Amino acid sequence: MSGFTDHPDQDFGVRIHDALGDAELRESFHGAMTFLRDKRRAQFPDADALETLRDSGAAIRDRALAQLPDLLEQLEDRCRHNGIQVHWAETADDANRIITGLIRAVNGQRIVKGKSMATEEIGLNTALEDAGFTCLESDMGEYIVQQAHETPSHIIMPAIHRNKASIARQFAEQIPDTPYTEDVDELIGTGRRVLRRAFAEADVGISGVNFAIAETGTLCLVENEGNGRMSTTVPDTHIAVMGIEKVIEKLADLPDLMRLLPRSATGQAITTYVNMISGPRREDECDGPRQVHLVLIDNGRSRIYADRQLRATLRCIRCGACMNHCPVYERLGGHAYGTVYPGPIGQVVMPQLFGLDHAGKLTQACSLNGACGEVCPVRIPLPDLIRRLRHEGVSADPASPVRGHGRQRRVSEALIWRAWQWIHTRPAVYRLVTRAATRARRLLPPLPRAWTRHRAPLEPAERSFQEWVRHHKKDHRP
Amino acid sequence: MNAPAIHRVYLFGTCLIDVFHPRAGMAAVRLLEREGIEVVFPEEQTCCGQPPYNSGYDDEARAVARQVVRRFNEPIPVIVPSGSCAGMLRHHYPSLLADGPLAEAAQDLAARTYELHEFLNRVLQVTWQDHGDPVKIVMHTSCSARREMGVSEDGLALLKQLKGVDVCEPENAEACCGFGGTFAVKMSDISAAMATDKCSAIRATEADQLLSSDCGCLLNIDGMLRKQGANLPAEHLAEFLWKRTGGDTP
Amino acid sequence: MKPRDRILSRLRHGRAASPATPYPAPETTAVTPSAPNIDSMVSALEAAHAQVFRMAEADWPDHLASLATERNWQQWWVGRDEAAATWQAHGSAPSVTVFEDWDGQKAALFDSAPISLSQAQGGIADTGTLIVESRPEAPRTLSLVPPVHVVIVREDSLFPDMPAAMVFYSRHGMPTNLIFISGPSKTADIQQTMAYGAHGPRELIVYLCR
Ligand code: SF4
Repeated sequence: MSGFTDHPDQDFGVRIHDALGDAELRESFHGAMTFLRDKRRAQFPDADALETLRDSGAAIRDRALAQLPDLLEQLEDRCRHNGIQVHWAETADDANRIITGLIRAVNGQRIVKGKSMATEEIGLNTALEDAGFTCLESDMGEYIVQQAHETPSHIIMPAIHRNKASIARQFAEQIPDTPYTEDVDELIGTGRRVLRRAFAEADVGISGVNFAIAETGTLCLVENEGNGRMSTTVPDTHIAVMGIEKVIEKLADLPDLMRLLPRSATGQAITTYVNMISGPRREDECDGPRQVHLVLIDNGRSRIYADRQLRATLRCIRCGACMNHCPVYERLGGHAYGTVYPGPIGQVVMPQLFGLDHAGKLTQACSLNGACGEVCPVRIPLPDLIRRLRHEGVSADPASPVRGHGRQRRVSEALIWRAWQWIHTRPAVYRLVTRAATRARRLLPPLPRAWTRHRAPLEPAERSFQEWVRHHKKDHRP
Repeated sequence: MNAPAIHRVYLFGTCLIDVFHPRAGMAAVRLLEREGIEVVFPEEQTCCGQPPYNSGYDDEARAVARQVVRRFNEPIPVIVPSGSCAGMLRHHYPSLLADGPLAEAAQDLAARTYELHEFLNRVLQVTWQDHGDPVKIVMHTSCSARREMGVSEDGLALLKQLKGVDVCEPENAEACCGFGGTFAVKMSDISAAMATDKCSAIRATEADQLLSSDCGCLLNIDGMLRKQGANLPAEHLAEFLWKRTGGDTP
Repeated sequence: MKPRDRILSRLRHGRAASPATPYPAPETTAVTPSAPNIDSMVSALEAAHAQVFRMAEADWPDHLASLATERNWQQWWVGRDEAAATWQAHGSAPSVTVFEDWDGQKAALFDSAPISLSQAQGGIADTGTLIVESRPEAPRTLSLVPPVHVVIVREDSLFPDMPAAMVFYSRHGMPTNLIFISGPSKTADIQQTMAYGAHGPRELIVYLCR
């Protein structure tokens, strides 16, 4: 059973082992990732244009972050002016309390939710259940996953770990009057039928936000299905939930981000819907929500913001390209990480949210191959940030900005690197060691089984390169 | 376009070449000397510092980086027959040493660091004759060479000059082989899963020989191929190029 | 201090303690073409699985009437916009319901509104996008709930690209709900297989009028 945990390091090894052993899962992810990578590549035929666009994406997000507190104030001001009520939450619990309170205040009974990673992050569904509410996920993938009591395994395609046969079985078992079929149109038709009822009857709709525009007090939501529009249009009350980093300065910033987001995410030129909400229904309008609330969540972001390098984490537009291109994610799938955000961005965000003592190990599941950093539409230097977090994980520096710093430090490993340094800063000692290694070849201490289980043992050469160079020099000197 | 006149370069040998692939280092020296270049090999070199750096042990890496920056101080190019070590010098030394007295020197070193094949192809613009029998080779480009250094085309361009060499790349050529330094040991199962796929793709090409310009990848892939009992010898690109273009065994 | 002020002060503090130069904007960015490319509007919409008809503005009602006969579309739902008025005046549709009372008509809209007709205020040629504003005469659910949505849009209301559209709305202000529509509703959430009509319209029919 998959689930999110606030201590992903625990049993990470077990989850890795299970994931690697699951042939069907690996097949699903391999197929899906190849598909998404190919589609993305086809959308960016001109490499130079792509790099310029990524520059622009990075610059837009960075400019917004540079003015973050000011833009948040402006956003709040413009939203209020437009009739959107703004709430601030420092923690996940605070956010859940605010949202539960808002639902109680309108006596909400039937709640639908559009896909939102922010609400996954704060564990809203569980909090609502604890408060006696049920909240129906309305994105097809989220609906499938929620019905199976699972969690999403990808931030864009939540049910990517499932094949259609297993979804067909699930629908036939769980939805009344539904015959087993693997026809995708019919399966989607079933979801549509069930969720339409829910939309028609819902009194509260919850959504995320892709971009909030400070200039106009606008919440921008991007989607293909229309469930986001349903959730934000049909119920009388709309509650939008967003991390404080999602604000951008102005409308003019939107086009380049929109050129990047859907193409990077799913290889689409544009999504079916771009839904820009700048207020509740006006007196003279016939439909739309009567109340719109915006819940701004900090939940550790202001701490990330305080570090010059780690701040780049907050540029993220949650496109998922980094995981689509990550060879580790491709082989493990999202659940093995145990986190709301899996893959490279998860390996960067989660240790900062939960602390390196709880999520530091995640940073080890990376070969630093750089594929994520190469595709990130806002140029987050993900490999550098992963390496930085590894450093904070073993750093004894009390000034480290990351919670749980130093807690990944093992005395044995630290000693190895100390010894390594001692040898490698003393060329004469180094030469003795390499001489011993090349002479004693087979007498070397055995390599970790971790290496030799899968590979033939390493074989040092008979003479080191440096020995050869010394002879070569002698030969060539007059 | 005329190649600028360069008479002297440093060679940074790398620790893996030193111990596991000395012939690659020898070939690098010969290839450069054949172009009339004096190769300076400072004896005080050991490693670039990547292993501790990638493990988060910045202080230990910095100590070694300082030594490299101090020693390779003449204003001549630094040639590195490895994409990842070149990447360390070019892209990571400046930030690693940014807050100390060597900040400027590190920037300077970064600006004159080249991966060997990049240097041969782009700076020296060598032209070669092939002297070997027809052979089919499969080329694995390391992630650092491809992404960090952006030199994936250089190795291939040099190989293309050789008439008798049929060059191919494995399917998913841009996929990581799973080495990642200590990653191969710390996350050995994931690493092995990646290496297994890479080996399958490489074997599927039915090439006679595997080449790469990074010893880390070579150790990883060749180690697995040998364990699998595959008859597919692996060699460093420099060594292959040297032998094909008339050099005797280095 | 309130949560709001604590968050803002943490951010201000963090920024002051470690100032950074933001990533530089590129010098060259795409230039908005001087006129909208109608062909790209059509091809992008068609690529997104919409059906597009181009004709003189006076001709769409007749064309739509014959399409309606062919497809046996009977129950039309409209707002009070221009397209609705023209369609009602044309008189060919057996039944036209004006949607104006949310509480009274919501159930019927969900249960028995097979097809809607509305006017788009504009479009974006580059991406094949229709621009739909919420207005008193144009309810937003009409472009969302019925399974078939017919849209009338004028060629001369198209923007060349999204930056041009954003310049316009920045200058003129935003409606309560501004919607860009680039095709029928769709999903690929089941094994990357595209299916249309996930929650919104299965079919999008566009009359692009001169
Ligand atoms: S880190 Fe970059 S690639 Fe990954 S989800 Fe965020 S924006 Fe996309």
